[in-house]
Amino acid sequence: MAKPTTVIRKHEPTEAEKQAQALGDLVSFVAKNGDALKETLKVIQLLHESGALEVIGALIQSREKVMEIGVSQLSKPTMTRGVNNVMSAVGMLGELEPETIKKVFEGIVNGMQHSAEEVRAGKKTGVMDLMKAYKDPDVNRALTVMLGFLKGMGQKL
Amino acid sequence: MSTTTRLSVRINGNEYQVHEGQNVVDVIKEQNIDIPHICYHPNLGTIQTCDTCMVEINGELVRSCATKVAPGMNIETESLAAKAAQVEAMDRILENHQLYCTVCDNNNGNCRIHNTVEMMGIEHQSRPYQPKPYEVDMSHPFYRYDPDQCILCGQCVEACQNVQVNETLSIDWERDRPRVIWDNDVPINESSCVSCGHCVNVCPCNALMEKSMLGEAGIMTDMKPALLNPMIDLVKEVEPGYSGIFAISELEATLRATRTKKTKTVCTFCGVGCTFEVWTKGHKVLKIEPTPDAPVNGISTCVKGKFGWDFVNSEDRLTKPLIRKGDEFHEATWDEALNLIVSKFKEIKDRDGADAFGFISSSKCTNEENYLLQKLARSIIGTNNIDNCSRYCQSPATTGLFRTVGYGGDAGTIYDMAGAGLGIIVGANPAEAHPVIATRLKRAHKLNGRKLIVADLRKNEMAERSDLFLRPAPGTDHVWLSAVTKYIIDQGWHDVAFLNKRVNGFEEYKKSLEKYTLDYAEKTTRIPQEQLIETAKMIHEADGTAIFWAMGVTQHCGASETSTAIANLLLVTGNFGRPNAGAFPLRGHNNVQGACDFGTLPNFYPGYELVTDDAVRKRYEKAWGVSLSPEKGLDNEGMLNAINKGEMKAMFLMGEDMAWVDANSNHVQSTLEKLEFFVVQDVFFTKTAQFADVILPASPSLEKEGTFTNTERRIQRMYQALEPLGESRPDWQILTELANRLGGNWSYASPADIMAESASLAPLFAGVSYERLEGFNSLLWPVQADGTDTPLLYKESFPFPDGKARLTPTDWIPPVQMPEEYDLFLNNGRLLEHFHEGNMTNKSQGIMHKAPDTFVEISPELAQERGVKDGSLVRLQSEYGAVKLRVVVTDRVQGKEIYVPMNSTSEISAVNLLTSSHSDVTTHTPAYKEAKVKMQVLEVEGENPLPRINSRFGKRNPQRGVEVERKWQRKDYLTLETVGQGEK
Repeated sequence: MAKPTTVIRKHEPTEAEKQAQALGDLVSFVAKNGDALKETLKVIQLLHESGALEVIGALIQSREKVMEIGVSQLSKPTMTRGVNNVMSAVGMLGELEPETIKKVFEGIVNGMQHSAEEVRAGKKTGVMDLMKAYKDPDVNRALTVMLGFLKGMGQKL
Repeated sequence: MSTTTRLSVRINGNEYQVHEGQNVVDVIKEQNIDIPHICYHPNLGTIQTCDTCMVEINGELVRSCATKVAPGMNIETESLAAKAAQVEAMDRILENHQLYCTVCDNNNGNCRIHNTVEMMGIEHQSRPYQPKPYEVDMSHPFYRYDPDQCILCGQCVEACQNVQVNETLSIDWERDRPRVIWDNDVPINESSCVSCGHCVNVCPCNALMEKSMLGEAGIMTDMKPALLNPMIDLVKEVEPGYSGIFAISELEATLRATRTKKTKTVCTFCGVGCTFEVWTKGHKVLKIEPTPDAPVNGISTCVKGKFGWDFVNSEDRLTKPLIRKGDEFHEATWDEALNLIVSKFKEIKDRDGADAFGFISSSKCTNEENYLLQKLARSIIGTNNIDNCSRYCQSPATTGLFRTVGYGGDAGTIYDMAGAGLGIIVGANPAEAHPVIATRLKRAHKLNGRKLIVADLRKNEMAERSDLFLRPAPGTDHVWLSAVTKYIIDQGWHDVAFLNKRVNGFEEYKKSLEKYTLDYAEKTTRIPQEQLIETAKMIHEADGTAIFWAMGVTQHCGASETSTAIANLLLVTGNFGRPNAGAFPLRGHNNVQGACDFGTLPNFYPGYELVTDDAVRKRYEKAWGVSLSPEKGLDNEGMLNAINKGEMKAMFLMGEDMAWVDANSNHVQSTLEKLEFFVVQDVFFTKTAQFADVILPASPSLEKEGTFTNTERRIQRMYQALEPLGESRPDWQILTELANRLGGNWSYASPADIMAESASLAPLFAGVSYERLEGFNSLLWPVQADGTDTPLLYKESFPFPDGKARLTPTDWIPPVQMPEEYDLFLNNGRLLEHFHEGNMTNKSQGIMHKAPDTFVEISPELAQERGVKDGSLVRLQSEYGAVKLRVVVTDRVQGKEIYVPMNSTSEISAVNLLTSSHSDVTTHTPAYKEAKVKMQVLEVEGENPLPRINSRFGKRNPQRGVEVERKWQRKDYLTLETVGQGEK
């Protein structure tokens, strides 16, 4: 024999009950994750001592402002050019063949050593020496490499 | 496919065997060869707007989506010319679309533009991005359109024009910068858009997006525009090449995936049985994502299934058990609530016996939950007094089919519905009540030349689209159906071979039709004879006739008789046991079919085996280890009568708001007051719950596992997407717990165990198992032990001892006569936007914005006669009660027939305050559709209850589709093809 009713008495937990509930949840969580929590606290302690925590906190607090500044700085033409340059350079490095580069670098190092020795010995080069030199297989190989390089570069310029 | 001939083609130098008639693009994809394609979608077909799938065939460039394979074809996907054409096409797309993927809410791994650009290895675009001179359209509550991101692929248009067939979206190709427009270019919210979501579902990028995704899906997408826009500009300025951008956006998408959960679910609204993924973040629903894998709906959704899920997180959810103390409810623990139920149940059973209990189950609950509730009633309490809400709608249809063809379900699938040469809709409004089925019927009619007849009191959308609209006098469908059948036989158009071979009782049935002459039919139904003859002719000429019916037939005193007449007509014309034909009662709730299938009926165990059959009962007694009642139980109506007689003391009701949904609400509510002990288990604090002694908080579909069975008899599995809210619990867990406290010793670890038990007991489901229902797999009953299911019934035989169907003579039962002072005929039913009485959909702000309240539809003639107009307030009074409603004047209704949508749970406007307790003679389904009222005008001036922004005020803009020829005719369009332009 029930008349329809829309009255619902909700059990509203008191502040104390809510706190006790929250604390209970937390305690059981701590019990389960004790080691991880201890390590985390250690990291936080280090961050705090170094002052990094304060910086991070401030950054998070003003994150939108910070990002706006960052983005507007990055958007300046010099910056975007810089980024583009760095990326092109990185791209170029990526395209080079490691084996060839190794050889070229070894050649450069060897050449520098050799030239230093020649200079130290006070050697001078006349026109005839030049004619002779380009018949020297070593010098000729180096010259071929240089000429090839100049041609390739010219094609792209 | 298996009947087509095979032929061989070369792709990139290799030989492949393919099927005749296949599109080149499909063949390429089948071989796992990369081919870009943006606008080609398996559910939309070839629309040719994007040009990205260009290939070289025998030296000519063509679109691979629009070219069929031919013997010896030499296809190159990677030749210089093909590559160049593909890249140029993609470039043209990127001219319309900015790639800011990392901060785009559509960056979820499935963005077609993102993935295609990446696959093609495009690093830079040669045509710079050009913004369009249009604002983002944010007007609609559920989705937005950003013209600046729109690539004009037209998939949304194709979906709207030719899949949903609402005909709202088009591309205005002729303007300087084309864009998608709604109707004749009005804001989305003011258009004829029915919020079905098709356009958003198929958009290959972020031009059309669910608002629920914006700022929610991405890690960094909720940034203010002040920060976001410079960041996008920066990325563009830096121009790292797209592979660099994509690397970062993919990293971001991977991060998202850890918190966006994607779960397959089955829609919980109507009986169509749409399946899709629901994307959630925490307890929040991000969006519904349909997939071509879904067996029923594919990419299709309706406003409720796509956008109507707010109820899950509604503040009105019940989250704790409630116990009545005097005239108020107090929150309680589960222990307290269940213990109280156990002690009261024991007390009442000891004192008054098992039949003092009644159980009402729910078509919103899963098959497994329905199985458990009937098991609880039968094996633990010991009564067959159990019923479900199919009693309010579909029992007469089931009865009509049982009598004639043997199975109480749709004869075939949604493909048969769409494939029928002629569809006849009788007393149903699928465009509003079964929207996704309606899309298939509309498409078949618009594109495939299928014919459509609609018989209804109201000129609803399907009637407007039909080839022939019959408008019978209320309650006379039986007469015209019988007259048409008689005329067909008289003309010799009946299927003699089929009748001889597969059907009993023809001569007797033919005799029973004698009185149904065209003359008599015209007089009784008001349908002109020519239309009846036309109907007969159309059935005779059609390659397969399918008849769809729903509450317009089944909520009458002669509902079972009319349903039988439908089946008879189909038998006489040989329209059973063949594809694209048959009887299709459209089940109203997601699991009306399943609730009945799994035995929450007073006379049936699961799988429609009679409780009075000794052999069957013994099977269940053995399995459940108890003795069971051999007496048929009480149905809903019988239970209410028993309460009034003081014989029924206790009731357990799961997921049903019978106080508003049963007819004659005043009577039902005063009856519920008389129960000694009443338990209601529901998601919400419904009107019915207000009468309860104990209320148990249940979890809706997204918070549990289980299966639903749709109107096609298709069993589909859903997975748990969310944790139950608060202390609510899945119904199957509550029932298991209660049964165990009553000594049941049930040990179901999951719904899979429940299904396994049911499958082992009911031959109809012998082969049903969760493994076979994995993912988007489904089974249509009967399912044999080896897992073979039955998409099409009666192919070999009908389920009767001699395998033959039974023509069953029936007589027309005229509608109830009511006193003359009630001069208006009251019709009632659903509204597209709301589900049923609205307990779920009225929690959605967006839906309430589009359709805030119910109303009464009045014909222009009646409005003039009574001096009312849009917004007038009227009082409708029947013999049983009264309501107050505001008026909508519309020619959807005629003369003195009025219509009230049932979406109200208010004492002021709920339509069932007006309906009677008359019911179908055989099944006791209330005759909701036989009501009469008188009308009193309270205020003439008032606001239209249907707001201007409701889709019904929009002006549709029908097109053949995306109409790509108009794009090709533009001066600035340069073709990439080298052949075949003349044919287009």
